[in-house]
Amino acid sequence: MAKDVGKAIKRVEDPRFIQGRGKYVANLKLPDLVHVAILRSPHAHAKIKSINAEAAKALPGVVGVFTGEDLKASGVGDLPCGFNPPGIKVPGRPSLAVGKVRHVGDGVVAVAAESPYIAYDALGLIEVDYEPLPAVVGAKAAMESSTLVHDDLPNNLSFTWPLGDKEACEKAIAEADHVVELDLINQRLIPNAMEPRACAAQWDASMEEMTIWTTSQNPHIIRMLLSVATLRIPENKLRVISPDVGGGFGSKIFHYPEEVIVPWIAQQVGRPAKWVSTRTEAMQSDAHGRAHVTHCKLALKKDGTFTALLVETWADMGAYLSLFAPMIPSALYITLLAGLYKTPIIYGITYGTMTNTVPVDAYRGAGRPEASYVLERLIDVAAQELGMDPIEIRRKNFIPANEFPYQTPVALMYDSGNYEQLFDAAEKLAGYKAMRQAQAQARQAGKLVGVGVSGCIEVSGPAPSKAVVGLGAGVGLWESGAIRVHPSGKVTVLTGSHTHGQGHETTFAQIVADELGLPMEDIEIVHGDTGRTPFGLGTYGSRSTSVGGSALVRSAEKIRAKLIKIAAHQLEAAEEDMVYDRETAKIYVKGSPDKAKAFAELAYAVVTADNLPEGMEPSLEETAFYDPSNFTFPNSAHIAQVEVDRDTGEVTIQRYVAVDDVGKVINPMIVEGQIQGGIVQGVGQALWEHGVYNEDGQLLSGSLMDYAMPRADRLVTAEVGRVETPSPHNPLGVKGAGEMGTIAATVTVANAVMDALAPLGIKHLDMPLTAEKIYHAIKSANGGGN
Amino acid sequence: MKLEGTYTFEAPREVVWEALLDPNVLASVMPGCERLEQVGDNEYKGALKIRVGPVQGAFEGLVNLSDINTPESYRMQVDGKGAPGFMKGVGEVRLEDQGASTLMRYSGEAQVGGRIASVGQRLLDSSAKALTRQSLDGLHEQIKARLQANATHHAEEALLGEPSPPSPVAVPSQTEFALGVAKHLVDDLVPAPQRPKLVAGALVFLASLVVLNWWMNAIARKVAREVWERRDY
Repeated sequence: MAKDVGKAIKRVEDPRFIQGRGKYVANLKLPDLVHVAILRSPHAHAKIKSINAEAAKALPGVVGVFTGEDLKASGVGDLPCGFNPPGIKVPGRPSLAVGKVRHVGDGVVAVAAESPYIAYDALGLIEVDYEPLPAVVGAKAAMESSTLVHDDLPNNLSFTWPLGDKEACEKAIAEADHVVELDLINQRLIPNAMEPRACAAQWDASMEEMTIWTTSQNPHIIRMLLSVATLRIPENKLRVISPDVGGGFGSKIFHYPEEVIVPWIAQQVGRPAKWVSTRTEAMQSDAHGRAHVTHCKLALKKDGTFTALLVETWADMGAYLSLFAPMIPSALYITLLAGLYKTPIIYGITYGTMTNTVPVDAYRGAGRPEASYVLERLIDVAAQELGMDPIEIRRKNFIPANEFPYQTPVALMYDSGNYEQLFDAAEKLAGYKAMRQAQAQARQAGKLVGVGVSGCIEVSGPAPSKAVVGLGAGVGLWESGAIRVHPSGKVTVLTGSHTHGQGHETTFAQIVADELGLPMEDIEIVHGDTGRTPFGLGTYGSRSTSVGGSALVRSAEKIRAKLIKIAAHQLEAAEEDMVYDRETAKIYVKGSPDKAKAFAELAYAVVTADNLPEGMEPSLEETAFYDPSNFTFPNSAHIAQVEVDRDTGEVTIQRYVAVDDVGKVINPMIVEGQIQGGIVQGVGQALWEHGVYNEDGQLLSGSLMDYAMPRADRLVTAEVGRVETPSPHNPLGVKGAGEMGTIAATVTVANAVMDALAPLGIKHLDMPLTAEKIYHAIKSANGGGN
Repeated sequence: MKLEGTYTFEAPREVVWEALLDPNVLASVMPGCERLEQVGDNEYKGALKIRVGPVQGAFEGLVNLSDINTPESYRMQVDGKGAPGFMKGVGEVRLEDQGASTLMRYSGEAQVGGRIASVGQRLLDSSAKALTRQSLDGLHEQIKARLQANATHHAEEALLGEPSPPSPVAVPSQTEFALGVAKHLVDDLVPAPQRPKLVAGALVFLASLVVLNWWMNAIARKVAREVWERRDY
């Protein structure tokens, strides 16, 4: 029935990207532009004793030099935190440091100049007299440190987020046949979107209106925050545009200091202003991801049945609370600890602590990869200790397909799933039995071959507004979708979602084309401009299709209903006798397709408005706002096979098999692209990536020479399979595909490497599982020899 | 970052001591040192141009000497900052008489921050070692030249009654400095027994990488500038 939905249609946005015609903030041309550069702190923690910018001000071509005091004096407010669970302490966060710097990369002075070169030269002329203070480093160590990152946060503790019955959990663990206990570090990651952040602003003094171009995943949220919290320009005088954005992975959700500094400067100097981040700056100022220290216990019966799970986590929030930071290690983490399993008792607690490091917030998966890592590592160690196959122990604990919707002990109500079927598909695609036999033979031959398995759950498509606001979010998470039919029958679609690599211009066009029966070419998707689209919440948490796409289905339904009314009126028939042919966009009376009204014909009839039903408004423009009734729950079974070089510790991924249930699929090519790309990011965390700070709070991995991103020559193309159980509560039946690959791949590869090293008696190593780390582990496992 | 080592000068302790406290001598032997002048009692101000991996830039620094025990030992405090970041360090220099020659023991600990820490970290130790080593080699040359000059001078003075200028000593070039860094990298990475086999090849390889890197950087900078200029304003 569907004309376009379900087809692997090539992405319509790609030609402009691959031909260099993308429209990014950095190439925006504005007349009379000043370029902004920001002097950043080289100290992790220091008092600012004085700032001498006279030489910089005197440099020819410098237009202005501004400090945090200047911003404060003109009434600019602190950057807000948008997720505030009960009892949280939110430290102040000015856009430029006032009095104290709290991490390497904290902005201190902003320079505006005629060219970026002059601006950067001017930075070198500014003398800041710092009085260095001891640095707080490490999520858990922060609570014991005598130094405070913020004087008003004792023990450097911002919030505590417990969930579940601790006593019952401890009792179940004490009474268990077997308990697996692990100390895990989920290391800090530095997101590296291909396009660094950028911001430009133009102040229209005659209308007192501000236009801001920024690399954001959610321009409406940024506009709202600029208006009510930071810049304090009325929302109706503020337009925020996110044009083409080259990747975000979460790091471009948040309201950043530069989005305040740049428009403020534009206003001060009366000229448009622009700032474009360098890669080095990005690594010191884009929100980082993960950074957990965890102690966890899984209790089991002799036969492998899980009886209780206890997880304690110290989450490094960095120097300030980034926009949604507290939500990640709490509501998106502890609630996920049930995984695919019927663990009856779960207790989790997170301590969100402040350190002298870059703030940590959502990064692809956001909380869910951390939860999967804890649970799936524990299960693998349990399987090993009980002498069970890792898939067998998982199957033993699955939530059966006939128990959905399933209420977990950690707040969530899973909508649908069939995990047996999922693992059947994965085992079959991988040839799991043969894989294990081959592994046994390879081991005999002295090779370190490992097979890793994971079964992951994701909560995506945020979210029911009531649920997230109840948890502490400052906004609901519904989405808008508007369809505007032009007199010629061409269609403009306005969405509150934002595409920054996901391919909405294709997926959404497929949805609307099918809903209205139009060719995709007749449909234009508009997003990322608060001046054009209705208020929307943006793109993150794999929500665009399930929430934004559903809003479009709802507005298309309204358009169809109106067209049916008009056609019924013109054909003098009853509405219920009308047929809307969604293949051809023709409307006719049942049984008389020859006398059909075409879509374009009716669109024009609305403009002439001379033959419309009595009282009907002459417009063909409908907007819908969709608030989902639940999250969606994509799930996955991934299997990886790796070999570890005994002499060098180098890990080679030999095969990677991924079977995912992301519900109904609109465009299988885009979904596979998301899964493949997600897996690459997950593998990156398992094997190479690590944002390293030394004890002085210096970022040691501050460039792409020092921070190891995954590279094509180190990866394999995943063999991707699919199981489809439609989500029952959105009109498309979709679940979200953006993060599953990352959530699953990290722990799958980590489990595979640990399986490879198991014969040497190595139980656990923390990620990243670099050649060096494994080399040393093998060496000490062999008693120092090799 | 920790720095520790010994160096033998073929000169009496007093001569080495004197050279060590002469800012002009030190400035002339340190690769990248642009200026070093005495600004107070045991206080010196200097400018150093440094290049660690891709990080380059000028440092302004203050050197403070304390616990001076002529001609045996002193402590040193260095406080430098510049566009690439900052560096703070304390160190100790000790001279021991060894007949006609002098053994120097030096040790120090430095904290670096900013870009120089986050980008060049892996090259930092090797660069510091190379910088120290080459400075000491230069110093040694200077001292030898001084001794030589003094000897000649005494003879000439007897004849002409007029001093001659000290003979100039070449400061290591950037390429020589890079070779030094490469050598220390090899020392760090390759265990001693395997070194002879590997060292020659690795040195040539690393050195050519470093040179190539500069060359590529120069090209990249040119291209980047052109791209910047073309794309807006």
